[in-house]
Amino acid sequence: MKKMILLFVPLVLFAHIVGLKELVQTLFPLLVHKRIVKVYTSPSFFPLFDDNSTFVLVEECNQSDLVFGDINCSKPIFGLSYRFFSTHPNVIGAFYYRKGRPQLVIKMKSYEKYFGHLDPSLQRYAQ
Amino acid sequence: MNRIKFQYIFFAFAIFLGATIFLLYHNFLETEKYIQKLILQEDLRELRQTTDNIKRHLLRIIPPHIDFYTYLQTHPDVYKDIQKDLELFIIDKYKFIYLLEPVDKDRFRFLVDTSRNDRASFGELYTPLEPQEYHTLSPHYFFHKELKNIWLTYINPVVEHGKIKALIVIDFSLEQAHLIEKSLKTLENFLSGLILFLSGLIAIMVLFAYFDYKRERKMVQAYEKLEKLNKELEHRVEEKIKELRKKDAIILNQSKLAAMGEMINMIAHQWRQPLNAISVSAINMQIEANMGLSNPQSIEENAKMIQQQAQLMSRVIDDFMDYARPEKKKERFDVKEMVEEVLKMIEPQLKNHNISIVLDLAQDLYIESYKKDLEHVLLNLLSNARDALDECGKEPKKIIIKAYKEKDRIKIEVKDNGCGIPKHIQERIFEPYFTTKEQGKGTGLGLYMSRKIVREKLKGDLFFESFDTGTTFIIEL
Repeated sequence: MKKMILLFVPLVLFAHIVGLKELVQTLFPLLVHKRIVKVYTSPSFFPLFDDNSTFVLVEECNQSDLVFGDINCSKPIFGLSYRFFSTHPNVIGAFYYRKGRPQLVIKMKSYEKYFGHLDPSLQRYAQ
Repeated sequence: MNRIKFQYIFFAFAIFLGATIFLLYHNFLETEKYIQKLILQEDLRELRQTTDNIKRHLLRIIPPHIDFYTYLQTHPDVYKDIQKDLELFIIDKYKFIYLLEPVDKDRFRFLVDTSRNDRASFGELYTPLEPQEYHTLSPHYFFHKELKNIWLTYINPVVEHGKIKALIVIDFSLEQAHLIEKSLKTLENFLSGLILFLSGLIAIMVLFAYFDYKRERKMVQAYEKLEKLNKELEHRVEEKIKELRKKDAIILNQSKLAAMGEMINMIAHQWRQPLNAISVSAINMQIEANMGLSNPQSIEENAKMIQQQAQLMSRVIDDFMDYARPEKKKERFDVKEMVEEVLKMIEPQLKNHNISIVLDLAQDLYIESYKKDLEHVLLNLLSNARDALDECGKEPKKIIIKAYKEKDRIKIEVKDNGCGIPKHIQERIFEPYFTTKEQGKGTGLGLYMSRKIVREKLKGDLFFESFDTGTTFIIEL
């Protein structure tokens, strides 16, 4: 089922209406290999993680499975800009817009360090 | 009928107008499409020229057989120069100008990016929304599915030996084209509204014309019906007139017969005296012959007397013949003389009825008219006066005949001193066949014919005034 959903990830990604919330809901459990993901993020992104069956928002970045946003932390980070993605050593992936087009990238080196193998459905985004 | 023809023209005009509006609208839509196509064609031509220029520039700088990424990676100064050169091409319509190199079927790599706010780093991976559109060996453009109304992407590949070395990509802003399109759309909407309004107006006008046509048709039908009725009525009137003429002819005939009877009666009256005289002379001659007293002198006297009386009788016949002769031409005559001539015919009879005649006739009262017809009318009035006086029985019986001129009109009055016409029959005395006389004595046509003659032939009028003291008939000419 998750794979089925993942096939629709690009569509979900690029559909402005659906937006970021659906992306994180399908992408994060696949990245982390967990059904419930502990997420640390800034309060402005809390509404993206209000689904209690998938996410648990933690108050300290060290308690999280994944940090969302361009936040400096020792835990794996999912960034929101290419610059952060390309410079921070803990960033495993990022989502940002380039030339008006949404971009999803996963940094294999960092990802494998934290989570091992990448789900095959996400291979196309790997760098 | 003209109105109906006008409505046909109106219908034709409305159809013509409708067709013209439709053609105009159709023409506008075609023109709109043409303008849009032309704008796009112009933009594409411009993009082609720009990207070709960039391509020529790149091929001049980067040597062949080396891939762009490797060359630019090893020659950062060339990279900077190219970036600056590409920046020179930026205008408002070009949102982004960048160079890409294909990595795999979905991903590309940024070589050079000229964007100010959204500049990609050298070698940065890029996943476009429609990657298949980028794998092209010839210049190509496409509209974004999600961003269709914002820009189009134009791709001009740099190909070497059938392999794409780089892609010159321009995200071209459609804002200007959309502004024109929007204006055209506004114009189209206005035109659509106008056409809708005009169509409604034409429909109302056609509807109005149709109802007017129907009303007009009804009117024409009613008019035709009326015309038919009129013709029928005319026909009936003609028939009636013919019938009346026939009746008139019969009445005239009867009137003539009656007049003839009257005339015979008068001749008989006139002849009675000469006949008596002739008879007396004849008896005298017979007695003298029987007694042997006859002598040539007495025979001559008696013969002379008989001759005179016979001449008198002949004159009477002449007078009546003259009176009865139909008259076709008007003549100028003295009214007094005319009255006297009539009296000559009827006076013996009036005297026989003990009726005295009083004349009050103006001198030199000349008139140009039909004399015989006037005599006929006067004679008829005098006969009626005679009969009325006899019927009334008042003594002494008197008839006054007056002739005078009043306000350019000549009036001849016949007045009797009888008992007058009873009021209840006064309205009917001019009707044909109406008579108060005993059966066999009157036809009831005298006054009817008299008035007809005076009104229709003499162009005058005949009327009466009646009181207990008598009746006056007035001929006004």
